[in-house]
Order: sequence, then C-alpha cells, then structure tokens
Amino acid sequence: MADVRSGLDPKDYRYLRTPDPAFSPERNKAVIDETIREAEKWHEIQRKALLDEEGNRADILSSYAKHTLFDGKNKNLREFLGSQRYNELVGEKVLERVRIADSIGKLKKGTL
Amino acid sequence: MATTAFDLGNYTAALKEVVQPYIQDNIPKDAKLLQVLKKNDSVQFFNNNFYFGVRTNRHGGVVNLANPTAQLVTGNAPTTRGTVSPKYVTATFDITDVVMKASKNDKGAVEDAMMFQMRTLKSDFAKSLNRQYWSDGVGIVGQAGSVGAGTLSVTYPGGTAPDDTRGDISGWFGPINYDIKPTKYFAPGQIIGIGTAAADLGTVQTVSGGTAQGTLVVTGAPAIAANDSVYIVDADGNAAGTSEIQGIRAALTVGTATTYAGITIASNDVWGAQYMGTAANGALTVADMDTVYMNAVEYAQGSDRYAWFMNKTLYAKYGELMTALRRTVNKTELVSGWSGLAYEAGQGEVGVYLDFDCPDGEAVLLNLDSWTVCEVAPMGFVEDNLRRRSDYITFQKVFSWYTNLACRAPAANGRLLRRTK
Repeated sequence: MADVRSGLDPKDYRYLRTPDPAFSPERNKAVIDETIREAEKWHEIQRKALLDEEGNRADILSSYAKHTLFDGKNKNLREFLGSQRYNELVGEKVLERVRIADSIGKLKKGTL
Repeated sequence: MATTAFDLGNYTAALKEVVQPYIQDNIPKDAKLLQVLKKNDSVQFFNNNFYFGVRTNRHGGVVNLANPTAQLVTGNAPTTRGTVSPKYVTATFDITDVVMKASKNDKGAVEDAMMFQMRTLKSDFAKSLNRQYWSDGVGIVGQAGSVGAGTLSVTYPGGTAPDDTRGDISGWFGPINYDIKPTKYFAPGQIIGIGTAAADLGTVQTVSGGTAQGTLVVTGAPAIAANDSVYIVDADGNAAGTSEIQGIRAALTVGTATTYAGITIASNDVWGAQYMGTAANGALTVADMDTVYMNAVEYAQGSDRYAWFMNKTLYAKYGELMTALRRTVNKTELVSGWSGLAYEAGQGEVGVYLDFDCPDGEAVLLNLDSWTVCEVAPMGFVEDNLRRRSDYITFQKVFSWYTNLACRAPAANGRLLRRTK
C-alpha cells in the first residue's frame, strides 16, 4: 500500500487527516484546473490585445498611407506587409481597417 | 490634392462616448489587485504627499496595580505618520491626421481605430499597474545577461546581484520556478534605461525569447554590461529608481531597506513584515504557510480580510498539497471573476489566488485591509478634446493616474520566498 505521506514534506505530516467521505482527488483537480483556466482566460484576453500593440496595427496603416501617398510607391497592402502579417490581420478582423487603405487609394486617385 | 478633413469633432465625440468610459470602467477590473484594495482609506493628500496615520506600538498605560493605592502608569499608543508621494502613471496614444482623413465618411473605421487604441491602452495600463503593485518602486524590470551591439539578453532579476541597491534588493533571488518570462514587461517602442541610474538609454525594437532568457534588440547604441539592471524610463530618459508605485515588495521588504514610507522598520514592531525562506530554495509547505499566517494575524484587527497570492507553479503545488493531505479543495471567490482555493488556517476562511504577476517563487500573504490605494484623483484622460501635437500631424490623448500604494501595517502581512514545487 502506498505511503499516504508520499509527496509531503515531513513538516506537513501533522496535517494529514482522515479524508472526508466526499474527498476525491479527481474533484480537487477539477476545481484547481477550473480556477487556473479562469485566470488564464483573463490573461489570454490581455495577451491578444498586447499582440495587437506589438503589431502596431494603427501605425501599419499609417505607414502604408505614407508608402502610397507620400513616397509614391504602389505595393498593395498584402505586398507591403508580407503574406504572414497580412493573413494575421485578416484573421483578427483588424483588416476591416483596410477600408482605410482603400480610402487612401481613393484619395490618391482623387475620387474621395 | 484637396481633401476635406474628417471632422475632429467626430473623433472627440467617439473618444468621449466610446473610448474614455470603456477605459475608465475597465482598467480597475483588469488590474486585479486594484479591485480588492480600498482607495484613500484614512489617507490625506497635502504638500504633494499622501499621509496616513500609523500606530507603532502598544499603549504604554495598561498595567495591573499591585494594590488599590498604587500609582497608575500614564501612557498612550505611540503614533507616527507614513508618507508616500504620488507616482505619475501615464498611457499615451496618437491618431495620425492621415488615418483621420482617410476615414472620412466611414465612422466604422473611426470607431475601429479608436477601439484598437482603447484595447491596447486599457490592457497595458492595467498590466503595468499590476506589475508595479507587486514591485518595490525602484523599477527594475529585467537584468542584462549577455550583450552585443544593440542587443542584450535579459533575465528575471536577482540571479546575480543587480547593480542597484535600492528598494527590496535583497528580496530579489532570480528565477525560481520560471513563472515570469524575463521579457514579459518589455514591448517595442519602450525606452529602457540600462545600468547604474539607468544611465544608458535605448529604444526597444524587438522582443523575443523564452522562459529563462529573452532578447531585446535596441536602438541608440546604449552601453550594456552583464548584470546591468534594466528599467523602463520616460521619453526624457528619466524615471528609473523613484518613479514607480511603491508596491508590495517595498512595504514588505525582507532585506536591507531600513525604512518604508519614511518610518524606520527596525524601531517599530508593526513595520516589519513576516517572512521566511530567504536562506535557500525549498518546497512550499502548508506548515510554513501557517507559520507566516499566524505571525501575521497577530498584528491584524479582528475583521481583517486575508488572501494568499501565488504564481502558477506554487498555486498548482498548493492544490497538490491539499490533495496529498486528503483535503477537499473548495473554490472561493475574491472578487467577481477571480476565484481561488480555500485555505483553512483556523481564523476563518482565507483564499489562495493565482496572480501571474506575483513574484516568482513567492507566496505572499496580504492583509487586504491594511492596504490602501492613494490617488490624487480618479484615473482619467488629461484633456477632454483631442489636441494636435505641436510640430506633428498627430493628435494625442493621454490617460493618467497620480497614485501610490500604502500599507499601514506591514507586520500583518507576510511573504514566503524561494519556494519551489
């Protein structure tokens, strides 16, 4: 029979008790995992927002505007960003702001 | 090419109606510790400082008389005044005139641009607050490892003694469980100060790296030496050492700092926190948690709320200990959205909560009623309307908070340091 004290520091032996009838290691693990998931979920939301900032999306569009309007160059947005970055923007909905890039195009053509 | 400027008033309106309320309402929820601490509780602000009264020892006039004619002992409860100064926490974002003009007739694009700024500002402001609340106010965010031209590796501070002796410097022990990535608090665009007094400045270009070591690529060619402290500084290159919120490690210092909030620790019993574990790494045990808890609660008042905070490894370890001790783990909630595990310590239910900014290898016991958030005014935007930055085609908004943290009874709090799985 496994020693019930295994995994415990000797200092903690005195805290061993007869388990409650409802004691269940599986239930304990479920509760612990649930609280960790709640914390991770909260932090995941923050991490995604942080990734947005690392991508500097607003400045990407400003840089693209400068590329087309002021530098006189004519790459499309996908070429300007590269496929990976472009696809990331698509996946995260920020590409809705390509409407701004379209508006820049219209400005350039004088059709806005 | 003539264009019609997008009405600045539309942006201003979007800011007032969409951005500002969202940020102001949600930052407290995202800066987790901010949710559970009181604000300006028994704190006064004058002469550019926050002042709070502290009772430093027992009443000297309590005595039993030898006989009915014996002389009384007159005394009082000695008090003093703690002082902390406001720190200026800011977050700034720009909207370029190009973006504004390009979004003419497209209010959805206006709101999208605002939403982006709103999300990132809120997230990063709250993240910075939480980090500072756990720190000692000096602002060491990393420590240089190997260096090269325009690049440095960074590690979690304390593996080798950092070159800054201020704050809770003896409480930095380097990575213990590697729960905090060394690059966690760095971001492109930040200005960092490196070395003694953050004398060498650089701007972060890229951030990368893993669990034990990260890499920053910086411009500005700062001089970098191994073990240099790395700080986040303002655009003037200042703010290292004295500008951050004096957080938990400042109030619950374990080492060479001799004062907190202007009060000498050694000569005031209530001013030294309870702590264990500085000598060597060791496994987290319930016995040690109980020792710190019992030592701390002696200085508490009857209705004080307590909570343990741990990072990932120790939190999971605590759960495993409960199972190994054949105890049923129950969930408890500190505030809405922040749940933890119940800790039975004989003085009512105390929770154990996971905080990803809790120092690596530490289990921190906070007496939540001994802390107060000091603020000059509620956090908010500096001006109502968008203003164009002088010499730029950029409009700028600044979100700010003039604040600090104060603990009125450090002895009623505790730290277990260098704990491992």
